[in-house]
Amino acid sequence: MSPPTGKTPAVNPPTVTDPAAPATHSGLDPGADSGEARTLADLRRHLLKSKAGMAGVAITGLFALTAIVGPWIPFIADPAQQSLPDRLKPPVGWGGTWAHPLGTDQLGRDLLARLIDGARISLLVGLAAVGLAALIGTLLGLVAGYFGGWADTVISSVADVQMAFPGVLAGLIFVLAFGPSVWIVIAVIAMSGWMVFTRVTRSLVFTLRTSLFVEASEMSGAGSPRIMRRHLLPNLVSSLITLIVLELAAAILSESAFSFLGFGVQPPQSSWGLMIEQGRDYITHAWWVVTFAGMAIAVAVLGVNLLSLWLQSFNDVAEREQIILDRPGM
Amino acid sequence: MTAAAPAPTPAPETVAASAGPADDASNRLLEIADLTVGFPTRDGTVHGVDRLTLNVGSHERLGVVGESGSGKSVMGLAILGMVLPPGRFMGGSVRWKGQNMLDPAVAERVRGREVAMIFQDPMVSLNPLKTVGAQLRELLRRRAGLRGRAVRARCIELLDMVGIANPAERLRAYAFELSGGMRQRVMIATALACNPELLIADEPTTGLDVTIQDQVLTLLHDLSTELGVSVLMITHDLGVVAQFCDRVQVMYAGRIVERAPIADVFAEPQHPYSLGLLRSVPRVDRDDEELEGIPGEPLDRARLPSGCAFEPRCPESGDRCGQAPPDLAKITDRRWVACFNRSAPPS
Amino acid sequence: MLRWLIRRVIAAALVVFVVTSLVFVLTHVFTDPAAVSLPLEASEELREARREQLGLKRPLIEQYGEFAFGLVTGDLGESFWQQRPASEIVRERLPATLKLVGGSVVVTVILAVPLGMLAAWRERKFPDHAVLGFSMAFISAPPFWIGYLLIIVFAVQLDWVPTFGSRGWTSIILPSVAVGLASAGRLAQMIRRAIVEELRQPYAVTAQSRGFSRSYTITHHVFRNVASNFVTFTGWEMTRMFTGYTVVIEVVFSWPGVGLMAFNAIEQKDLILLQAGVVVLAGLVVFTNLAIDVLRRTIDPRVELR
Repeated sequence: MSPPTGKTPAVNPPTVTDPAAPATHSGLDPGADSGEARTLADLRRHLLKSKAGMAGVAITGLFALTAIVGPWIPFIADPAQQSLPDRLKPPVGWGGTWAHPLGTDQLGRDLLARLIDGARISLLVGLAAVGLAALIGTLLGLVAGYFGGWADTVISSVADVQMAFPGVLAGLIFVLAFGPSVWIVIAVIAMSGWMVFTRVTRSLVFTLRTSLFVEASEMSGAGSPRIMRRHLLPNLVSSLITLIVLELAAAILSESAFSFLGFGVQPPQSSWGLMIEQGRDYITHAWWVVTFAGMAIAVAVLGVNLLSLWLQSFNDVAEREQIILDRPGM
Repeated sequence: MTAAAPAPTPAPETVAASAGPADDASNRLLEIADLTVGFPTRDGTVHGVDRLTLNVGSHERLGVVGESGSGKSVMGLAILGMVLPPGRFMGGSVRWKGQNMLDPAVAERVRGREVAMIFQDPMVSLNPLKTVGAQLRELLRRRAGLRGRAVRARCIELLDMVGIANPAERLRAYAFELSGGMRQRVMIATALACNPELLIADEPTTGLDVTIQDQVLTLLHDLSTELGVSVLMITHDLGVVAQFCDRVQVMYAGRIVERAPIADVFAEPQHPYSLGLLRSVPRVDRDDEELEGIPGEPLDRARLPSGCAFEPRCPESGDRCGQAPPDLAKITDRRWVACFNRSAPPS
Repeated sequence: MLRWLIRRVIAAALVVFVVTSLVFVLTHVFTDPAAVSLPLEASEELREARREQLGLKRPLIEQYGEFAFGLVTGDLGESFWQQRPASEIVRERLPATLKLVGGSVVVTVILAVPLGMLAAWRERKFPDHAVLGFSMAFISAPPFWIGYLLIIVFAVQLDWVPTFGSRGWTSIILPSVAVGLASAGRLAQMIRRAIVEELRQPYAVTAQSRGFSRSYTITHHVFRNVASNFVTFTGWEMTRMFTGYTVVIEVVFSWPGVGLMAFNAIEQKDLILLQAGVVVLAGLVVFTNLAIDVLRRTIDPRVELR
């Protein structure tokens, strides 16, 4: 499928004004506005039709907002304020008071305040890890796809071995070697996720290079690196955004698992996974610590997953349409 | 053994001469009226078929011609009350002998028993993991209600009927062990298993060698005459229509643009698209003419022009053509055309 | 088939070789097993003595040779913490991990197959959306949290099963469910997708055009043809279990498997024991991948020879 048809799942395609666009299409294109505006409008229209997408955007938005403005939310207690007389107070509705709506933990700290505080760490660690994986993975994928040959062979085999070698297990060795910390967690998650980005980028560059080779030979003037930039970037951006969101959900889960094992975020900093680790000894008589902390993780991850599901379906539509109309036997 | 025709059979010439809704209502097997099937896409709903009207009589061989993407295949499945998700029926009706085929209960009863379909690409239309025999037996037991020894006898009879040598041996073969022509013959055998009255053939010869194409068409033609089965031939190939059909409907962008007896279309195509199609077919009888393609690109179905769908490619387009799509109008008693430049003679 | 199998086994062995070498590099080049095993304030003499004791003074290549030879002969080194061969400890722990993974696979398949088929059968209808909701919920919830919720409800409140440890056959239920729910969520969606895509295949459309119902087409035509995909997906879930879920879930339920052993090894700063655990779990992953390929070939002759 050639980029200029306007069907590419791109976020920012310079499609309609593109010199490579066959002129015959303009006659069939009703009210052609800029490609960018069209895609953004499409995105919104598609979102409004998808309940899961709306829920994903809403939950993820709330999650991000909490992470950003957390410390400035009024009427919320100080998450670090300990009070031993108030240890393990139940939430409202189970005998608790509005002073601590979700109850308190084993050190008498307000659970709601700690949950809000934990959002920031979860999001930051997740974003940092996925950002690192995306950066490394995309660069390697670009190199492998663009140069091909031995560079491709080396990078692809490293990616294959990495697929077979579980990064989490290597991460355990790192934890023992360097001691537990947030940085180790970020490095481990990035290390076990980069090859996803490499593979996608590589195959995108590959297909585009093959199709552009033909196109470039028909046109004069535009050199192939320039075309590459113009066509590759938009395609890449939309795929990468979708992948980043997908991987972000996994990264948040991994961070919580590492912190739960005591290998990640260290006290006095708070993290949802760490809260479960700290609350696990009290589950027989204070279920709320573990329950609410886990619920926070589950809801945040669910939001990101729904967002990712919707982005994937948005990017799939153009291809699905081809399948429906072009294949007679179906 | 053959399916009994419900109404007195008219002479073939009468069938050939009649065209469109004007034909004898008592003789109709299949009536499609204003059928619309929509597929939601990112660019809005695409109509796979768009207000389609079509009738098939008994003992008739009707052709539907159009290029790929014109909605022919969607139509074929829709007749059986089937539409692949995310598509859905958006209006109109499909009636088989007066029964509503859009009612799943009716459709499931009729499918395979009274109306059967043959698909393009016999390579992949048979189950790759079941033997020919297993696929036939399954049909005969579950759909034709045969039991015991009758099943095997009928299997062999069917394969024999479609011209497969050593039928008993072939029953044990898997699809990948057969040649393309053989597979299509097996397909036809499975379609005929329950003695249908209408056979929908969706590009049955595409992907086969030219000589095999001819054999398959001849087989279908002979079987339809012999068993009294009507055939709806869906194809992009006017040559197939010329060889096989009595009557033809030309389809473009999910709509019928011309319907007429076969000889009339070949002698004097009326719609500009039919004309273009005809010019792009090599003809044995007039080798002096040059072959031409239809100018312009095949349709982007998500972005239909607001007027006649053929307008951007039409050599004769005028002012009216860009405004609203033309309706199918009767211009002689045997011929209907959807084009502003072909008006009916004053009656 | 035999030649294919031999090639495949050699490839797997190669991966095991690369992976174990990586582990060696991690443990011997990036870290110092002697220093790690001692308290931070330990004197330099003490560390030197420990290095001598562990044979770390010799050239790296010699140490690697010994490590590799040990692997082949089943010697994984000596645990500092327990003062006995690591391979012995791993052998004791492995059955529990295999039991847990086995139980989890059972739970996963029992849940995912019917749900995936239901969702595909009623594509884009209410059951499909409901199954998607179930899947998303269990994919998003951290398995260790599900573990604790199960403990709170079934062990603490209802007292139906033991809270933790491996006592009696009922004790395997909760950990298996905790792992199985997340895997089932993913597997159900993968099965649904495979069936829905297969239903678009011409032969499946043909079957339905002959009057076979959608459910009959799924159970009698499509499911057998996606069986090889099903094996692959289940295998993927198993590798996930070996690499992540076992560690976390074994910690939650104090399940005496290799995962809990690795966790304890980190707490005890026992690098050799951790290394042994990592090598064994990675080996299980490679073996699972090999088993998937062999099984796929047996089920579906169409699967390409590689």
